[in-house]
Formats: sequence, C-alpha cells, structure tokens
Amino acid sequence: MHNIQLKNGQLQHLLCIEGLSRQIIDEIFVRADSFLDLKNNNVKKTDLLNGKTICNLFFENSTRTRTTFEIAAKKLSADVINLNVSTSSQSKGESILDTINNLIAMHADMFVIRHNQSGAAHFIAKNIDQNIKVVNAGDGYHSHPTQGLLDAFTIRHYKKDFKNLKIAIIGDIKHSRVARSEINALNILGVPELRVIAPQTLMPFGVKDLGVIPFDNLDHGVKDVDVIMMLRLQKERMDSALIPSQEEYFKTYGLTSKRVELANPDCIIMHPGPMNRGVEIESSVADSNKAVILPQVSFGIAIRMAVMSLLMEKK
Amino acid sequence: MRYLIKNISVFDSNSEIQTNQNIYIGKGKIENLSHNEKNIDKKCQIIDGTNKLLIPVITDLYSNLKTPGEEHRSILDQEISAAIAGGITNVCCLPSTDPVLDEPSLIKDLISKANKIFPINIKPYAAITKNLAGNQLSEMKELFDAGAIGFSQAEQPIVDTKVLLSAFEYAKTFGFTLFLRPTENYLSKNTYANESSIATRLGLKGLNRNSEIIEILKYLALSKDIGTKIHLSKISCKESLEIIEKAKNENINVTCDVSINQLLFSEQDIDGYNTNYHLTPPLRSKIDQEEIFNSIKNDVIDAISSDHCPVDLDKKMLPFEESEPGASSFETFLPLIFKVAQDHQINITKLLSKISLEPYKILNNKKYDLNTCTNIDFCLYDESLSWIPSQSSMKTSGKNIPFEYELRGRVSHTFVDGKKIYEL
Repeated sequence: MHNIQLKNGQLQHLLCIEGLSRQIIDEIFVRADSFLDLKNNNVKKTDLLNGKTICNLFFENSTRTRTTFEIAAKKLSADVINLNVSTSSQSKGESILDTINNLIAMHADMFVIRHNQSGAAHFIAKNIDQNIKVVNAGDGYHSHPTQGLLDAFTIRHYKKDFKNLKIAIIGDIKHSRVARSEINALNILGVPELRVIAPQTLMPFGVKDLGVIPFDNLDHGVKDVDVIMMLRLQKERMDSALIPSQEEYFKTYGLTSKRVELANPDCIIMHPGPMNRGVEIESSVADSNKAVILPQVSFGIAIRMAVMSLLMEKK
Repeated sequence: MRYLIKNISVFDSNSEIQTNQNIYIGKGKIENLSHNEKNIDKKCQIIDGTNKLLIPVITDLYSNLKTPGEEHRSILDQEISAAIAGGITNVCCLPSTDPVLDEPSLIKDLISKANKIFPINIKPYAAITKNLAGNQLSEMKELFDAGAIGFSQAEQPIVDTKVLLSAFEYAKTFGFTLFLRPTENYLSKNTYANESSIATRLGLKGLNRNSEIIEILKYLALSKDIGTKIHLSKISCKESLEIIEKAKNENINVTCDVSINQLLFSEQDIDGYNTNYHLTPPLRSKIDQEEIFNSIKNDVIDAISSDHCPVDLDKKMLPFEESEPGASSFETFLPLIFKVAQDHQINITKLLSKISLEPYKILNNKKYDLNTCTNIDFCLYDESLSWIPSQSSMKTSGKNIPFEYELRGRVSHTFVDGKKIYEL
C-alpha cells in the first residue's frame, strides 16, 4: 500500500502503525519520555503548540480516547475543539469532506479523527490540504495507532526492551483495531513471539499473515508469557451469534488469577479499557499488582503529546 | 443507407477471424463481396476497414442502467450512448431500479425510452419476485410478453427457499431462464471485500466465499430436479467454477458468466482503499483469477459481462465501506478484453465469442449467423487507436473507472439492424 502518512520517510499524518519504521516509533517514544519527565518535574504545560488549533472529530462515541487527546493537546498549549459529529452536521446530510473543509476554513491545523469505517482517516488525509495533519483515533476494525503505540510504550517501560518477550493478546481479535495496531507495533519493535488467543469465531481470516501465532486454548496460549494484553468483549458479539454467552466466554477465555499463574511470574497485564469485569477479566486480576491498566492511561497522554508535537513540528 | 467496408477483418460466426474482407451491407444484411461486386449501390458509403475488426452482436449479460429511478440526471441517455460507444448492441439490464422492474408497463416503458435515444437492443431482466422482496412471484408471463428477456433478482437473493422453488417451477413451465447472481443473504450482508488476509489487514469486513458456493449448490440442486434453465452471473470463486464444471458434465441446464472486473483486478487492488475497486462480488484472490482464466479457456465460463454500473462521484468520495459499489465499463469493455488476451495469453477469438456469440446463444437459444441474419448488429473495432479513459472522453454518467492506463484499441463504428448509429 502506498503509505500516505509518510513523505520522504517523515511522518505527515499518523493513520496506522503499518509502514512506520522502528526509527519513527523510537522517536515518538523518546519524545513521550520527555513529556513524562515534565510531569515528574511538576510542569503542567509546554507551549509547543501554542496558537495551533486541533479538532477532535469523533464520528463514533468515545470518552476515554477523546479526553486523553484533549488533555494531551491542552498540555501542549493548543486550542482544542471537540466535535461530536454524529449529533451535528452529518445528521443534516453534510458529507464528511465538507465538514472537514469547513473546519479547515476556520483555520484548523490538525484533526484527530475517530470513525466507524475502516480507512476513514486515510480517506480524509488523502483528500484534504496537505498542510493539515490527521491523527487516526480509531477507524473501524483497521487501526488505532496511538493505542498500539502507548501499549508498546507501556511494555517498554516495564520490560525495558522487546528482544526476548513472549506476548499474548486475548479476546476479540477479529473486530479489534487495537489488536491490529498492537500486533503491528510489536512486530516492528522486534517481539520474537506474539500470540493471539480467541475462539475461531473471533479470530480474523488469515491471522497468521499478521505475524502472530494463533491459539484457541487460553491455558496453552498464556503459558510462560511476559505480557498479557486483554481486549474488551463487546455485547453485540453475542447478538451476532459469535459466542453463546458472557458466562461461557468468561469460563473459556476470561483471565482469572489461576490462569495468570500459567504465565511468567513477573508478567504484566494490560487492558485498553473500558473493562468488563467478570466477562474478559476477573476483578482480582484487574486490581492485582501485575495489572498496569491505569499507567497505560497516563502513558497514553504522553504518547499523544509526542505524536501531535512531532507532526506539528514537521509542518 | 448502404455501406461498403473495405479491407476489414471479420470475427465470423465460427469464432474465426477472416482478414482482408470487403463487406457490403445492403438492406440490413451482410454480403461478402468477392463474387457479386456488380450489385453495389454506387451511392453507398465507403468505410476504410484497415486496422479494424468487425465484431458482431456484442451482448452484455449484466449491466445496471439505473433506470427508472435517476431520470433527473438523464442517466439513460448517457448510458445508452456509452453502450453504443462501447460497441455493445445487446444490453441486458437489471431490474433493481426504482421502481423495480416488476410490472409489464415498466418494461415496455424502458425499452421504448431507450429506443427513442438510439435503436439499441435493450433486453431488461424482470424481477423474479415483486419488488425483489423474495415473497411473491412477479407476473413472469406478462413481463416476458412485455419484452423481458429473462428473470433476475439482481443482487438480492431469494431467502425463502419455498419461494425459490416456486420460481424455478414457474419459470420451467414457460421455458424462461433465471439469471441468478449467487450470494447468500446473511453471509453477504455488510461485507465489502473478499475475506482474506488483505481484508483483515485493512480492517474491511470480508465476504466469506461460502456465500457464493452455498447459493450455487442450492440453484444447481433445484435446476437438476426441476430442469429450469439457469444462468449464474458474475462468478468469482475457484470452488464455484469447479462445481459448475461438474454440473455441466452432469448435463444440468446451466451457463455462467464472469465480470470483466474479475479478469483485470484482484483483491490486492483494494489496498489503499481506492473506492473504484469497491465492487460486488468483491475482487478475489490471484488463485481465483487463475481459475477464471482456465475456465474461460476450457469453456466452463460461457460469457464475460461488463458489470457496468455508473456511480455518481459523490458516492465514491467516501470511506471505502460507505461508498457505493460498481464500476463504469461499457466503453472500456472491448479494449479491456483485448488487454486480457494480451496479458494472459488467451486467444482473442475465445474471448470475443464470450462477449458476442455465446451470450447471444444463452439469450436466444440459437446461434448467431452473420451471413444469413437479416438484422445485423456489429461494431468496428480500430486496433490502432490509443486513448486514456477519462471524464471528458467517456459518455457514461459514472466516472468510476478503476484504472488510469492508456488503452489500445477503440470502437470506431456501431451498427444496429444494418444501420450505422455511432461513429467515433
């Protein structure tokens, strides 16, 4: 695929992890480190994006991702506009490009876009003024690059490097943009053994081609892993007959403390949130000292600051 | 008007190309001139046939004219003009219009409106069921008498198998052909790409290949039992072709076609989310494509359709899954057939027969004979012309062309009933 997010090897937009070099990811991580240092030194804000306008354009509901993007932008001193498009112009029949171009006419410098259609961020980036930056905050089942990056950043924080890690991603791989972004990021970062664990109904076609080892048995899949990355199970998967019930799912694919014992003793447990306690993860596991779920959220702000400042600086 | 076409190559009724022919067209009939040059009307128009190939009766078994329904855009005018510019003289069009072609008056009206634009042979398929809803059979006999060439559900399968059984039985009663596009209702809903590693990577919802296979098996079982003649449209999977080959060997009354798009493009082309490659059925794998080429060579595939579907630019300027599927292909159909012949080492006469003589036979149950036919339809294809299809060079209302390369060869003249109705 022609990678429109890169121009002469430089990041123009962040649309997906696929096609990013190790060097770019490292650059984002180093930058995120510096923002973490700011926090540790009790500095609340930098003026890197002072005078810039960032539009959070969410065509799909989101609280957590939008909030972290908003906080990240504000910490960089940018002006932030939040638009919940599902309740505004789109419902009046305006096309997505017309909405975007109107906001550009109002001097928007960057769009953070979430859309339920795979490729939506690509579509927007391809069809707007090339000086305007686009950050994909989740498109359909395709990609959620900042989540993939923040998850990898979290692993880097706790495990130092990726060279000898065994990592398992558990849950609805088929419908998960988070899983795809995590897989892409961890492959680029050189994780030698990446496993995905799900029943066949929640496993995407040709999953091995993504560079993972599929398991349909959770006990086998988590054996000796260093990192467990959980995915949220959405209720509509039951409605579309992909799994019989939440109870059976928890019994066969829920992460319990007993199953965590099969993993490496110093393994960490991650979840992109929001969690369904008692569906994909047992409460005692989510609250255990192995869980790094809340630090993930904090790292998410640093990563988003890093991505936004990097894109705007290259402008 | 009478015409003398000099020094022309002719794709004849035996699927062979005869070179250096002089063709005289008088009273709607073709005469080879070698023996009776004296009978030529001196006022006849002379056409230089150098570098040109005469191809009779190009017959397209699958196209979408979107009429009735989009009259405000004068779409019929543009699509008929596009068909003629593509040399297509027999246009079979789908009933999935607004309103659906399920009333005899709508069939008559469409044919009459089309003929007012150009005297082309419009052959509408009528809906098998009322409003394509799959509940109640349409008045097949009345629709046939009004001009419907056959019966189709377009892209909407009949879900209720009891209704499907009735459709097969009723069609058999009158000897009608059912033109069926095999796609299973539930598996195909909300899918936009071939289910594959590529769709997985792009996050596009994939169509499981069993959608096509299951429907074909169902149709073949009914046809075998009842004896209804069926034609399967736009086959796209390797396994489907293997099943159809077996059915043909068992003498089940089945024929099939493949869309030109499946010959030219594969699922790899959707990488990058180019909505011009958003097609139904979705573009399949290279393995499927290879089997399609084999099945053309060994005649498991009887015909190649244009699958022409003009889509408004606004409906393509959307994220991939939200965009409307379809590609405009009337005008590029013939040059692309030549491109396929060249790129995949398939004999051009084999391909030409699958867009002319073979589909004609499927529709009319008889062979087309250029020499004896009294209402000849043909086009002249100029192999020396090069052109790039573009918004300005095409007549269709849809500018949704999934490629940007130069094409070699173009239709220079189109004749219907022995009369010239188009010249480039």
